[in-house]
Formats: sequence, C-alpha cells, structure tokens
Amino acid sequence: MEKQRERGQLALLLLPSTLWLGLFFLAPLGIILVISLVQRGGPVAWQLDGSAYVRLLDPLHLKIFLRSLTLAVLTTFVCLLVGYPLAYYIAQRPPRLRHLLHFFVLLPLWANSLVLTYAWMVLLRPEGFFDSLLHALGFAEPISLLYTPTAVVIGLVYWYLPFMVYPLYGSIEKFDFTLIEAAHDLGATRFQAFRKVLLPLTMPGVMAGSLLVFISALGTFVVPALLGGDKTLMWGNLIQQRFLSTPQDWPLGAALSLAMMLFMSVGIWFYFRVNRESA
Amino acid sequence: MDESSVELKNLSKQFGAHPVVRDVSLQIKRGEFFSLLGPSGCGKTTTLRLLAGFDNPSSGEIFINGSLANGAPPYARDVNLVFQSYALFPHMNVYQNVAFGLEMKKLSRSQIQPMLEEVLSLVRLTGLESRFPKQLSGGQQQRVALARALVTHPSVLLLDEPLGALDLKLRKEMQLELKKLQRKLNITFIYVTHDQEEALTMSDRIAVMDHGRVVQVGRPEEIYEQPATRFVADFIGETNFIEGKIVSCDPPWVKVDVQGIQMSALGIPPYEKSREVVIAIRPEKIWLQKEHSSSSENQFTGLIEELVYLGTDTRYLVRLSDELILTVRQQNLDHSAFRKGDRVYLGWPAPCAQVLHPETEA
Ligand SMILES: Nc1ncnc2c1ncn2[C@@H]1O[C@H](COP(=O)(O)OP(=O)(O)O)[C@@H](O)[C@H]1O
Ligand SMILES: [Mg+2]
Repeated sequence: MEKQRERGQLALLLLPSTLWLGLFFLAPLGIILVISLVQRGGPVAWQLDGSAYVRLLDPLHLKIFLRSLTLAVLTTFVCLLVGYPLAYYIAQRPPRLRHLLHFFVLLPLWANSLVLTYAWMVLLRPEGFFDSLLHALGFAEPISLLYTPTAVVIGLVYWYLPFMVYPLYGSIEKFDFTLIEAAHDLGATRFQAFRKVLLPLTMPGVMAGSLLVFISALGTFVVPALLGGDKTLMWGNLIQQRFLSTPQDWPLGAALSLAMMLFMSVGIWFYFRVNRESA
Repeated sequence: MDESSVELKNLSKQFGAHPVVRDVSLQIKRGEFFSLLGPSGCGKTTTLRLLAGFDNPSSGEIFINGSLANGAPPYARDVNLVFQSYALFPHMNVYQNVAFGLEMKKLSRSQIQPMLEEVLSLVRLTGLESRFPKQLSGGQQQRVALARALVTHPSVLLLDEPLGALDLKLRKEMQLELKKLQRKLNITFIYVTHDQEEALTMSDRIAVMDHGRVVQVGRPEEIYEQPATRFVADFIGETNFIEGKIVSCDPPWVKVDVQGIQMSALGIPPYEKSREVVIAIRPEKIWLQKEHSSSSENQFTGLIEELVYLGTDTRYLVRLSDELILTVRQQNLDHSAFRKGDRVYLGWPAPCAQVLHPETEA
C-alpha cells in the first residue's frame, strides 16, 4: 500500500519534466527522424526512402562541415583567450563592481542579436569603421572584412563570449587565491603559478565554457548568413537552406540536422567522461 | 648585523587610513625560535606577509640574512610560509605538493627523490605520498604544509598559527614535535600565535603585539615574570591588578597604600610619593594559610568568597576589603583545602608583586 502511494507520488512529480522533454525534445526529434527517412519533393513525399543519407555524404557537405568545425574551434579559442582574463579581472574586483561588470558582459544578450549583427556589418564593410581606421593608420589598400571567415569569427566571438565568461567566472570566483601566494612563496613565477595551480583548478570552467561556445558556434546560422555571405556558409546555413530555399529538400535538411546532433552528442558524452575521470 | 637572520627596522603597514603594523623593530637571531604573540587582529599575519613579500610595507625596512628585502618578490626570498589554512594544492597529491618548491628550482627527478624521502620521514608522512589533501586528517595536512615549506631548506620559516585548527591533544603533541624539528634543522622559526601557553612553551624569545605595536620582547620567563605593561600582564596568564598610591620608595622596593593596606612591590624608580600606580601579582604566587605566619611581612587577612575546583588546582576569590578581591590559585596537594566563608591569612614574597609601567597610549 505504502509503496504504491509512493510510486504514485513519484510519477506525479516526474510528470511535468516528462511532458516537457516529450513535447519539446522527443517529439520534434521523432518528426525530424521520420522526415529524414522519406522521399524528397514538394517539399516531402511521404514515401519511405533512405536516399537523404546518401545525399548527405556529398563532398561539398564535408567541406562545409570542416569549415564549420574550424570556425567553431577558432571561435572557442578566441573566446577563451579573451574570456579568461576578463573573468579573472571581474572575479578580482570588489563585490559591488563585480555586479556592474556582470551587467556589461550580459548586455549584448539583452539587445536584439540580429540588430547587433547588422551593426557589425556596418562596422566591417568596405569604408566602414574598421576600414577607415586602418586607412587613417596608413594602410593604403582598402580592405573588406565583411563576407570573410574573419568577420564570422568576430561575430561569433561577440555573440558567444558571455557563454565563456560565465562558467569561467564561476570557477575562478571559487578559487582560493592563497594557493597562488603559496605557489609564489615556493618559488613559482606568475606564469608558473598560473600554469601549475590556477589553470588546472579552473579547468572545469574552461571545459564547460568551451563546450557551450563550441556547440553554439557549430550550430549557428544567423552570424554566417549575415557576416559570411555565400562563401562562408556553415552547417546551420545548409540546414536552413534545405528547409527554406530552393532547391528545397526536407529529408536532406533533416539528415543534416541529425548528423549535427549526433556529432554534438559525442562531444558532450566525451566532455562528461573526461569530467568524471578528473573528479 | 651579520648575526641577525631577520631584522625589521621601523616597519609600518597601513591599509588605507587604517594602521595595522606600527613602527615595529625587531632583531631575530639565526636559528632562533621567535614568536609573535598577540590577540587576534593585532597585525601578526600582516607582519608575516610583509616578511614573505606578499604585501609591501608602508614604511620601514626588512633585512633577511643581512640584505635589504623590500620590494623583492616572494619567489625571490629565502623565506617560506606555512599558511594558517595550510593552502595545500588540492589537485596534487602529497608527493606533488611537497615536490612543488623543488620543481620550481628546476631540480631533476633524481635530485628530488632523496630530498623528498628525507623530509617526509622527518614529518612522519612516509607511505602517504599518493594521498590527496582531502584524504588526510587535519594533523597530516598540517605536516604536509610543513614538509612543503621545509623541503627547499629556507633560512627562515614563517608559521602563521599552524596548530590553530587542531584539537588540544594533537596541538600539544605537535608543539613538542615542531620544537624538536626546529632544534634539529637549526632554521630560524618566526611563529605567530594568539595562544600564550603555546608561545611560552615553544619560544626562545617572544614579541608581544598589541594594536600593531610590539609592546615587549623577551624570553618566556621574562615576559611572564616581568610583564612590561598591564596589557602584557593581562594577556599572558592570569593577573591580579591592584590599584594604589605610593607611600615610599626604597629602590628597588616601592611601598604602596591600597585602601589603607600597605604592600611592598618591585618597581623601577623614579616614583614620586602619592602617585597612583598598579601592582600586578600572579594568582599562583599568593599563599593561603589558616594560621598567622610570623615571618612574612606582606601578610593580610581575608575571607574566601568563592572557590572553583580545577583538578590539579583550586581557584579562590579572597576578599581583603570592601573593594579589594584577589584571585588566588593553590595546588591541591592535600585535602585540607579551604571552604567558602573561611577566614584566611594570605600573602606573597615581595619580589613577586610588580609595579607596572604606566601604559603608553596607542
Ligand atoms: N588586505 C587588507 N585590507 C584591509 N585591512 C586588512 C587587510 N589585511 C588585514 N587587515 C586588517 O588588519 C588588521 C590585522 O589583521 P591581521 O594581521 O590578520 O591580524 P592577526 O593575524 O594578528 O589576527 C585587522 O583589523 C584586519 O582587518
Ligand atoms: Mg592571523
């Protein structure tokens, strides 16, 4: 009797999360899976067919996949280089100043990201801010950053930097700075203290931040669409185009989505495995 | 100069407008066990941090082994600190923690190995090399911190309340162990504590600090027997303070009138007549008897108001007059102890009572 009641209560408690997962994750996933397994045409013909997965293996897709991977890795790396000192700096400020700095880091997330990306277009285009700046500094050749991989990375770093700073800040803030003093006391220079003590102990933040930025950058499509142009398409643009632009090919779009999800899942699984081992 | 291991000259440190260390001058000899003793917040840790190089003094000079250390970074000073919190690296095991300082000196593995074995056996940690700090007891962590600081053979070891987190029994054991270790290695120890008993049992010399100033420096028995100020007498052990007026002065003796009762005490002249002074007398220096003693001159009568049994001792509160109650401590040698309400005779050898210097205002 008692057991049964407990089970009932448990089921009741689990209901909202089960519903949520089912409705917003499993159901769409199922739909995508089904679409990937039917014939294309208008935009889908409900006829069982595996050819979308053959089309998936097009060398062009591999090229775009590698480009996405490269840009995502680059974005993660730049975010880490910029985010670590930034998070360190914020963690070292007195508490009141910290709140203000948090606010500034979060600010871009509050504004409409599309508008901000358009702003970057204005800054990066020929005769835009950066071009004029370089010109004024004596570079004769007009350069256009817009529609280059560089522009995409700049845009992505701008979008996803907060995702890097937050986990990093979390682990740096928890860090006991007397350990740095202990390292100095035992003869470590600033760099050695960083490499031997601060970095290993804030590694969970580095890993979490990198994972968040990497996954987000890999799946993005707005930034490369606006700042990258046709020459710097990423995987997300590919998916978007197969669903929305001609030639429409929903099964291929679905297969592309599933391939990306599979790849990310492997990445996340790897992350948790490494994390568990080091804990 | 050449003999000093560490010398501080007029050292001061303030944080903003808040002075924390004030005009501290000390000479600490090579191989000395030197303690900084004072209540919490008096600036002991700050003084150590100045020595280790984590903070820069606002003014004054620090000499280590005869050379000026001001401005030198911590990693360039031949001084190691044992942190109050131990500050062990949580991601390194015992071996890696202790080897850290040697690796920073770019020693090879084959050079490190014998030094590590030696220091680990010295602090009795052999066999625990692969444990991580969180797998160790407090006492073991403390010894890892000690080994880590000792392994590079610094000429001075700074210790910030290293036994503060241990329980009483372990603390007593570690006190003896630390003292033995210091003798054996002949390294200068600068030991910070707020525990007067610890300072008295371990130190060659003690500097008593109050509000950032050093108020007295001396051997443990000097500090205890001849406290320079009321603060020192009060902080170290238990003391009766008796206020009175000088009647006459016959160096080194001073006769003081305390509400009509005359007492002799040791004092350093000049003391002019009728000046108000304070006499300090330790509770264990006062004797209690049921009978009048014919030989003693500092002899009074009193009434036992209260008594507290402490095992080896009993503590009595004895009323001499309306406003004068003295604390007396007597060893429980037999069962003829006194009871509440008893009339007793009490007194002390005159040299045990001391007229204190007037307090220098901070
Ligand atoms: N970095 C600092 N900034 C401001 N005040 C400090 C700082 N470090 C210590 N203090 C103050 O200095 C005083 C002495 O501190 P400390 O040297 O730690 O004393 P102790 O070790 O004797 O307990 C305390 O009042 C403390 O608040
Ligand atoms: Mg302290």
